[in-house]
Amino acid sequence: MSSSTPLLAVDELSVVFGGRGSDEVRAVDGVSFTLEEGRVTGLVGESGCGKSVTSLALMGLLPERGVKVGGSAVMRLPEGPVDLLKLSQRRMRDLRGSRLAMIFQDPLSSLNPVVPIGRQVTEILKRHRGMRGSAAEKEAAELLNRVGIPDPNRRLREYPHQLSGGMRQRALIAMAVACRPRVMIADEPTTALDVTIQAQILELLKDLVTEEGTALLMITHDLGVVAGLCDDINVLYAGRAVEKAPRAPLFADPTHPYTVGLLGSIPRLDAPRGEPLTPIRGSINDNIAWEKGCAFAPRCDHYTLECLQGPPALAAVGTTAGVEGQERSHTVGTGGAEHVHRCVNPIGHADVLDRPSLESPALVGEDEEAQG
Amino acid sequence: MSLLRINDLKVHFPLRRGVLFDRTVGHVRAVDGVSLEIRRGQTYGLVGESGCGKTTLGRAVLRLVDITEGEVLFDGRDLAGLDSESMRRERKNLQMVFQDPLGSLNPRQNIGSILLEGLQTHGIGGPAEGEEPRGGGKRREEVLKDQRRRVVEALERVGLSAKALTRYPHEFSGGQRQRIGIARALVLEPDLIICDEPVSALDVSIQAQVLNLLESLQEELGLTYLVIAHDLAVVRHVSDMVGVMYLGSLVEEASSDELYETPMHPYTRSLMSAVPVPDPQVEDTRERILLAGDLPSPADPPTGCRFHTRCPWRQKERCDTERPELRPLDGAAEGSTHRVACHYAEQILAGEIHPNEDMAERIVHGAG
Repeated sequence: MSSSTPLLAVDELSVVFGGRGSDEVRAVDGVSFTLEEGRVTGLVGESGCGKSVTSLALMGLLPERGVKVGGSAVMRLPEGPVDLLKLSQRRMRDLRGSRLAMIFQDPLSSLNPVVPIGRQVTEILKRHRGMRGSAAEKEAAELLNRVGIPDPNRRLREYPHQLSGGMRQRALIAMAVACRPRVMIADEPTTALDVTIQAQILELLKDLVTEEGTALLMITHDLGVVAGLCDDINVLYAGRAVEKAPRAPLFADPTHPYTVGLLGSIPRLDAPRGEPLTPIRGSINDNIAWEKGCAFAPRCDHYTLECLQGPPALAAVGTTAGVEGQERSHTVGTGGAEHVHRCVNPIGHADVLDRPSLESPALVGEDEEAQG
Repeated sequence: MSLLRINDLKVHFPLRRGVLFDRTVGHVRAVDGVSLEIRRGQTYGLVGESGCGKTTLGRAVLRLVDITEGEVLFDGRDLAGLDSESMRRERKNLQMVFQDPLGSLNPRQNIGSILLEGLQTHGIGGPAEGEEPRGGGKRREEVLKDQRRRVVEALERVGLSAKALTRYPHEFSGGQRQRIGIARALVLEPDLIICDEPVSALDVSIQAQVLNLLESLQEELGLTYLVIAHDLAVVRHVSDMVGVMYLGSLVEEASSDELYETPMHPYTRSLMSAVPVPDPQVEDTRERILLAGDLPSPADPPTGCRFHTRCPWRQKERCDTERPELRPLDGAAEGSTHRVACHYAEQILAGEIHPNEDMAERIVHGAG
């Protein structure tokens, strides 16, 4: 699968907010991944890890002032490859909706409350496919039907508040797939929904990917959703990927302590009851800058002094990761199928439990959340 | 021994229309006949999707919403019949932890004053503030000292230090705020704590910290919990007994392990099959029962079994005419606590009834 050129290749994407007077914030700090036809790539992480900012940067939805976007995101188009980050607003408007589409988390606030669903769906058909009048309306009804909204003709005349949460999300998906985009970005598409509705929506997304060959970028905090849907997974922490792997090795043999911690934090439905959870201590505020060392070190149970000797580099699992040199190495961690991590002290699956843990470094004081 | 017993509780909200004349045009049956029992020292988990009435039930126990009908027996006393002043006094034994930790803490009160408020209202640590005789300055100081000691103790129990007292809610992270919410409930030394979605606003790693905290507090203090949540995995993890709600009534109730091993009600089965499991092997192989459509309106609930409009096992008889009661299973083992509200639970379990043809396509079988 890595033989074909990917639909979208994101390389060393970085987003920096601020400047002029205030401190700069690196929300995304050198994230690389690829999207391929008919495959689902997952970005997983907790709030503040930069996963949503990544999607906004790719869609060109970040404000122009006060934001610096670096790196490249090359998309393969029939007319030749283009770098999404360097396109003009005008070109981007043509691509958005037709070639790449986005599904947002909160369906109510992404729909216009004072415009009927029908007008919002046909707007896309008019803008990108040049359809008019009854033809556009017929196609809109067809789209709603396709995403499983019963009685589409009635729904087209209704306003967003008259639809249930699941149906609104379906309407948004209908709008996203209206022009058969090659790349679709879903930012927490099921977080606001109930589990039974979530299962319906995930099944719908799965069908779209297999039937249409769309490349889907799935952004979520839910490792359960990832396990069921994603083919390749990037685990983000504080703006950088800390582990990336296809889903089978990631879940069977996670090596980064953060991934292991996340998996240990989730109460599993099929785990024997009474099994205690092993949470990650502290909160996302307890981190250090990547330049000084591993940002996760203050919360890590496997921390040693090596962790603070500069930014750890991405390295293939099985080899010992060194500290990044002056120049960032581009040779590692771009392959889709390989399992890489950013950790100088990775966890082998044999010694998850009996590895000696050291005291966490400073940054504690009164702010530290004691372990429960 | 049951600490809380709810008998046929109903909470109906009137739907009003009209400007001049306030006509009642119907009722939203948020909770429509729920009976359950929580034993002292145990955790009862109430699970269901949004709109099923689980939050309203929790609020009704504390009388934060008006009870339409039914009994809430707390330690033998019927809370539903109390006047508001006696209820206010009773609330020191029943406390609540809310979902949104920022929204439930006053942003302009520091943590010390938030935690002291309950103690002062209930006059714990001495006579209530208003009844203090003039000139009793020394005594008042002692009371304050005692109250402060209790507050610090509660903070320490949830893993925060006394330095937090002078700080404000916005200075804390989400997980810490939820700990403050728990400390506020603990400081009154209640018997029962109702936790309404205690972790759903938190990040995964913080969720686990708070769940572990709730468990260790229960061990130390012998607390009784009513945990209300939409996440079946969370509820199963913390609860001894689990009740599954659908559209205002309980459809199944069992011990946590029994419910997981043999879910009987079609709704429980589909809910369980929809919960994502962070394990690709499980995800690929298990059966998934996808329900058609959305929750019907609680203002106009379906006749008969509330679930019959979405049930894949729906039968022609009884389902749409007769409302099933929560009952123990025929031929259930002695001492089993498993109760289910389905006319055909035994036949479905034995495999005698198959999912309907038109609904069967909604069942996705794993590839492996």
